[in-house]
Amino acid sequence: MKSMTIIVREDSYDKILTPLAFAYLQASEGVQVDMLFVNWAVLALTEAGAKKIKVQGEYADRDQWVREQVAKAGIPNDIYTLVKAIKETGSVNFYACSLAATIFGVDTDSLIPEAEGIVGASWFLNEKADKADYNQTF
Amino acid sequence: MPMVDSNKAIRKLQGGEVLEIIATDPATQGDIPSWCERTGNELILAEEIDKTFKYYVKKS
Repeated sequence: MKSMTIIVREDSYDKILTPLAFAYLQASEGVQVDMLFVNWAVLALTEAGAKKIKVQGEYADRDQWVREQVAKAGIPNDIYTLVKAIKETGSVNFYACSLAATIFGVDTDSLIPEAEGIVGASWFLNEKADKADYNQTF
Repeated sequence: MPMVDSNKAIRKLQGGEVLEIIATDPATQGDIPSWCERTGNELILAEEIDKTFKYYVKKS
């Protein structure tokens, strides 16, 4: 595999960990990974939004425990720190979906510097997903 | 993450040098041989001692 795309829509801490871990794994092996953050997950590409990410729903009361287990597994347990570590591989691009950015109040100025920018879903699907070896959605 | 750490570490080696990997994740028993096969690196030792997994990988 030389390239993959990942579309991330879930912003619960436990649910966003998997696509980020997969991106980290593949990028560490030199695979080009392009990630599009849609729906509430677009907020993960803002510093304030990344800080607010928590385990939600049925397991909300186990947020701290999950973070401790993540740290034990050797993964940065803060989402923004993890995003920065992934970016340092040099093989991952983070994109914010323009529709999600509009709906959930994200603009270019609020994006973290590790993000490439705000892009249309059509551009991502045609220029990245369609040309990648493998696509995933979370 | 053993595979992220292993990829980072092996990049620093020259061809023919050996990377020692010590992991506690049993999934490395599948991940490491598969990784060696994909990358062309040679798995020269794989052993388990008291739930710790040790691998020696020679960089191609």
